[in-house]
Amino acid sequence: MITLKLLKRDIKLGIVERLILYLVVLFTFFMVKDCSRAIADIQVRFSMQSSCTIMDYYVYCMSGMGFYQFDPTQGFLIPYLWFISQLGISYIIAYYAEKDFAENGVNVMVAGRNRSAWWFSKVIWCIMSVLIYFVATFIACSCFAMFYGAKPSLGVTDEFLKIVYGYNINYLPYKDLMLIVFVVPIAVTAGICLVQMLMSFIISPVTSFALTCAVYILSAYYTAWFLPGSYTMWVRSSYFDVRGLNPLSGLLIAAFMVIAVCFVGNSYFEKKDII
Amino acid sequence: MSEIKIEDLSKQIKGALILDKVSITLTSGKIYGLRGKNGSGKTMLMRAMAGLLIPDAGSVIINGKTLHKDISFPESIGILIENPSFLPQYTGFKNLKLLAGLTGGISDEEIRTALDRVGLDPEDKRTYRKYSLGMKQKLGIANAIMGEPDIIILDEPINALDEESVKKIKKVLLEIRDKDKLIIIACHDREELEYLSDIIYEIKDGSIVDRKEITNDNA
Repeated sequence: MITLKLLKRDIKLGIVERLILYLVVLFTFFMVKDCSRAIADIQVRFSMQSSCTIMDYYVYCMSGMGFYQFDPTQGFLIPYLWFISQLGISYIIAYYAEKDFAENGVNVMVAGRNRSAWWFSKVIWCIMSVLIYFVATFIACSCFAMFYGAKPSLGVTDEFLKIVYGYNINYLPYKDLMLIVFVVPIAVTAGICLVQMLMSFIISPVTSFALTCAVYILSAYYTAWFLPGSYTMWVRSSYFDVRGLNPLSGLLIAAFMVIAVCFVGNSYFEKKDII
Repeated sequence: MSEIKIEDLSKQIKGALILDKVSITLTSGKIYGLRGKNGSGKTMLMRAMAGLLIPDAGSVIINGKTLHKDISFPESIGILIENPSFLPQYTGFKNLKLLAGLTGGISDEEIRTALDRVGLDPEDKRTYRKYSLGMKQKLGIANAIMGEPDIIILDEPINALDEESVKKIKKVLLEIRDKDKLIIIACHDREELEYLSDIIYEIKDGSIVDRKEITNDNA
């Protein structure tokens, strides 16, 4: 019951009153612009018959980058829109919980009389923030896509994806596509954000945010099961590349991060001096 | 009837011993004063009683329940520790209402009464960020006394208050004490502390070094 009361407070102060931060999702305009350019190019070169849907745009925008292989003639270029997308939510969740603890921790803890409830409320708040961020990203992406002439449909255009990714999407059931485009990236991002939130208490919000940036950069450079950022790029999924990452291992890593953060954070706050 | 029993309480922070085998028993219907130099351990002792500090050794037992074992925080407590901190975008009333919502069982009327008792207007539309230092302090006291909890802990409650406000707060605290509540105050002003307190503990280097019963006509 007290967790719900604290959560209501966190939703009000940490989401509703900070909605302006979610305007960061407007960066999707640049992704959509890129996508629109790619579609125009494909239509000219391949005489593509069907027009694309908003889901095509979203799938294209959130693809990230394929495996990077070191090439001395070419520098490493981070997929900056994917990077902004991931850092957007990391920034949104970076300061609220730690600041709330530092400024109002004494009053709120004493009023709520429960350290665990306080922590679990922050965990749920963080997961909700990630979900809302992805929903907002999808909505923004869809609106811009429709502006560029996309059909308002949640289906994917096989022809478009086949040309762009060289893969016949018919072989991939829609639910599997949804798994790698929505479920795995959202779950892994939630896990990363939770770890970042916990670290913001143990180290500091700034250092924790910087470490998250470093993890994403490393994830773009190396593809490894233990670098969670790779799971947020669906083109690195084993569905699209034989060397790719199994989406289920992404879900397992996400579940591990969520459970570990719940337990470690709870134990940390049970023993923490509030001074 | 409330009782705080502290047994051999010790605490170190970053290698420095801030509480050294403190043992005292505090009972309701009295105001206890804590006196000592800066850094003597008054605030830390208050934090320990409020459940904010985890002891290295010893225990704080509140009405027979051990803190951090049977309960995380005292079941009925109001505190003001050092500088009060509230949400700057809300009015005083809204701030207290949010906290009362977490505590439960405190009505809007009780919040208004608490604000009124410390000399703040419950209908004041100014947000906390526009409050003066004295108003912020009063809001901190109102937060501690709203709903008249069984235990009230006030660290330097009369800081930044004018003479008239100090008189008002003293009157309120004595009224609350007479309702069989337990009040603990730390204050630098020796005269004010002696006027308010029934018993004063002197703290030095984290230890209780003296206990003095005060007889005055404040009742």
